[in-house]
Amino acid sequence: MRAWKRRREREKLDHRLSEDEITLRELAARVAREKIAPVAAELDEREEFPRRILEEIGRAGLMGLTVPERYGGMGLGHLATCLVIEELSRACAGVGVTYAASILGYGPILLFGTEEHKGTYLPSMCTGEGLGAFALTEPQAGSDAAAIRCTAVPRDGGYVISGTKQWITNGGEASLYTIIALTAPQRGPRGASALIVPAGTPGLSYGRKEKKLGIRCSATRELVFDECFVPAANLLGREGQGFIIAMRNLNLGRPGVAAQALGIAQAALDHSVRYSLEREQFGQPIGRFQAVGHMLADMATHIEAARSLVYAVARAIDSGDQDFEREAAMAKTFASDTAMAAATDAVQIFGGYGYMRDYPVEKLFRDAKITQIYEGTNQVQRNIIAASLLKEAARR
Amino acid sequence: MRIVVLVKQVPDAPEPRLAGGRPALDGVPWVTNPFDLHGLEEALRIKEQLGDIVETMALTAGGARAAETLREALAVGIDRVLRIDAPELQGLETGLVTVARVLAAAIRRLGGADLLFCGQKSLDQQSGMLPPALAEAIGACFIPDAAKITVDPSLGRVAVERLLPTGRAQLRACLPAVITLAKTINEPRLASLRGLMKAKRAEIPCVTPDELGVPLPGASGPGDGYALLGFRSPPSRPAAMKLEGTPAEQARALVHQLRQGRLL
Repeated sequence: MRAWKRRREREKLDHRLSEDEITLRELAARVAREKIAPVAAELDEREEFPRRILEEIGRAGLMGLTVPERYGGMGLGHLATCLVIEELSRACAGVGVTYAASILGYGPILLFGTEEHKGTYLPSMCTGEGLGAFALTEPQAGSDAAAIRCTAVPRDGGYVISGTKQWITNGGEASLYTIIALTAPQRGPRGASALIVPAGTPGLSYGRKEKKLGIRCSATRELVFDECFVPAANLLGREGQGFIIAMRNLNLGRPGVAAQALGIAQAALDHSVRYSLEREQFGQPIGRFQAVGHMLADMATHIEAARSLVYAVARAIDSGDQDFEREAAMAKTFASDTAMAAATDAVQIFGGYGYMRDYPVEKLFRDAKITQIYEGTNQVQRNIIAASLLKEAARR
Repeated sequence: MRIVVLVKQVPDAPEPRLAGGRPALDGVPWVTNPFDLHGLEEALRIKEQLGDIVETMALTAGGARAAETLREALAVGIDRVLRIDAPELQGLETGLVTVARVLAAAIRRLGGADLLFCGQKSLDQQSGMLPPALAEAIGACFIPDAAKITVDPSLGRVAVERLLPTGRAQLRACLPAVITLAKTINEPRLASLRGLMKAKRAEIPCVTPDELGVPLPGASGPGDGYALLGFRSPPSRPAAMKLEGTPAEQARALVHQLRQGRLL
């Protein structure tokens, strides 16, 4: 418990968090420590969805942080969201992604929804009773999101949705889905639109819960749309705006994935430091060996650098900066690569014990990998960064 | 109906060291006594059940830092708080009977109480003696180790299930009553973000023992026959020994050690 506190005190100096932001993070840390950490290994082992934990997070008032107060939220920004995701992920990245995916689910409503959409769908997202999910990926459209085939044909004052969405986080558990489907397939990506599909809509069914390497308590399922009708009022923005909405939503969500990775990396460091002091070999704690000490030093250095980048991007977004795509991609890439490296080194420091399920770093190792893959692989992120650099240089 | 919850801020030092004859508490975090959180939770549950006829209050004694514990109480939803500005009531400097008298005076200042909830004990002293002393000081019933509390405000009484080593006893008490709560009675809630933000900006009222008309023993008040003379650490335990080798070698080494210690 004291290690958590010490780190917070140091960060107060390093990252200039306000008193309110520190209060927020302490609350998230307490939820993580008291409600998540004691059950994280069990939920992972049983691949059990963390429904009760979500209720606790909701009761703590941490759901719907970025939702305006008039819809029941806290009216806070992306830095606040990142602080919470980081702390939750420190205890369990599966809970962290479940929380973050809900924000990604209602994000398009916040960005492009009408007053009616917001009044109808956002309040339940803030209490923990409701849960959001965002559905873009399809079996043949992963990194190449423009290759989606799911259609939403305009008919009888609404849209008839047909097709399949794959690997949808919170699939089958969410109360609200925002999906991207082609309302005008002949126009290709320009014919895509964003639609709200509440759970229970006839024609929407779910595939089996996917068996994953990590983040195993989170639910990842296929969404199957079989002539699923939603009224025209469920369209977000305008027809054809689907990809603009999706990309804005994903860009805003990227610091969240980075924060999740930060939480995993920090947990890897916390466990490694403690173990390096406790574990003795050749008559001394293994942390005294330079080989181990340097691993700890590199972990801590990369984590602090990643944290600075993630918080800086979140602050830029909160201050109204619209041109943050490159930096958001950098934050996601750097933080997730840091998490993977830190978790790998943590397993190495724990040695044979690190490979065993009885010790916590094996889970961190499994959980870290996905942060390099989802919400845009790190390869796609590097494409974004490179394209942005070249575009900027060409303009000069 | 008024429920007063006694809360105490305690040092979170599982193995305190002595420095200069006193517990070394520098750098030790101070937390709300975890046993007291059950009192706050139970008061909130009774209020949720009975509505606005119930007023919940939290009372603590301590220095300025103890206000944080009252902010925690406000953050979870307690209506009003009061701090008795007297750090000497937190430690062992003051006898429990005196502490109880000061608390009783503060409760009278608050307008009295129908129910007083206390944790089973405090993390630092663990005597569990303050609640009965307080019951005596205010002339209330005392029931320890409550595992279930049912209030009937119209009848002015409370039904309590008390934990016993062999089972549970069903008890009924008239109000006012001082009740200590078993840890199993409830699971304390966490404060909400909104509650924390509100509590952070709240004024924490405070009163001194002198203002309550109960001056503390010592310079300004009469003695109470109690004095703290000093602290002593328990003798340190010898380091543990791990026996290596095959089971037969370990057994031989164990017998050798036991013989050396004249235990065999």
